[in-house]
Amino acid sequence: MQKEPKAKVIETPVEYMGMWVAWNDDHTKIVASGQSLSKVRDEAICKGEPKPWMDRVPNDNELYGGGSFVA
Amino acid sequence: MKFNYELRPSKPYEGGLPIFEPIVPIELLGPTGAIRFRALLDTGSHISVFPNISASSKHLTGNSSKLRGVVAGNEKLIFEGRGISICIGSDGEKYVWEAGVWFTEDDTHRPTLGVLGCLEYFNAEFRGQERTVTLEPAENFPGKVVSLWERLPFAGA
Repeated sequence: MQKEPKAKVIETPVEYMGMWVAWNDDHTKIVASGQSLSKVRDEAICKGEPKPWMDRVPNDNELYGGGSFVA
Repeated sequence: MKFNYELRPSKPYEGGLPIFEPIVPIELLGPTGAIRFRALLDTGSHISVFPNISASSKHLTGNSSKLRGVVAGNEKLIFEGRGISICIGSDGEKYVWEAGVWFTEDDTHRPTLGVLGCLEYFNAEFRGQERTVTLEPAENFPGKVVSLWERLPFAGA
């Protein structure tokens, strides 16, 4: 039987798909969100979160990850 | 250093299958700035690549050369960040190393830790059932390991 993980798992709400979100220092609360990385970060800082964790939530059509060089 | 997988959102028409991913909180440290990301640890990515930070953090990346790359399936110009270090912290320790990282010209993709600049320096253990990933510095790790406990004034007393 598969054991349930004991560790706490961070869950990002579905309404943030395709957006940048800024988390507070201990990753418990989203303090800002939007389409622009720099604007979302600036908004989080203005709201009193000087060092937010920036997270890009993937969208349905973001099927591929990763990067490589083109020959 | 152990990190929990994160549950990424998915819509009901995908079948409702939960998608857990190894996301690692990191800090990029540049000559004149720093920014924190939650980055995907991706063994399929050749490079460690980040979105264009622009505006307030432009100095983080410095001057650099450009190359063509493929990021998240799309061909893009990518430019090398110079003098950039990555800091990962957990369990009372920090790993800090100067890393060859790349930036795209836009901000539409996920911060990704790939082989070059990151995984090449670690022994990584992905435990799918537990939904955790453990990173230990390999012998070629070029940075330093900082114990947060040793920095406390009463340590060793």
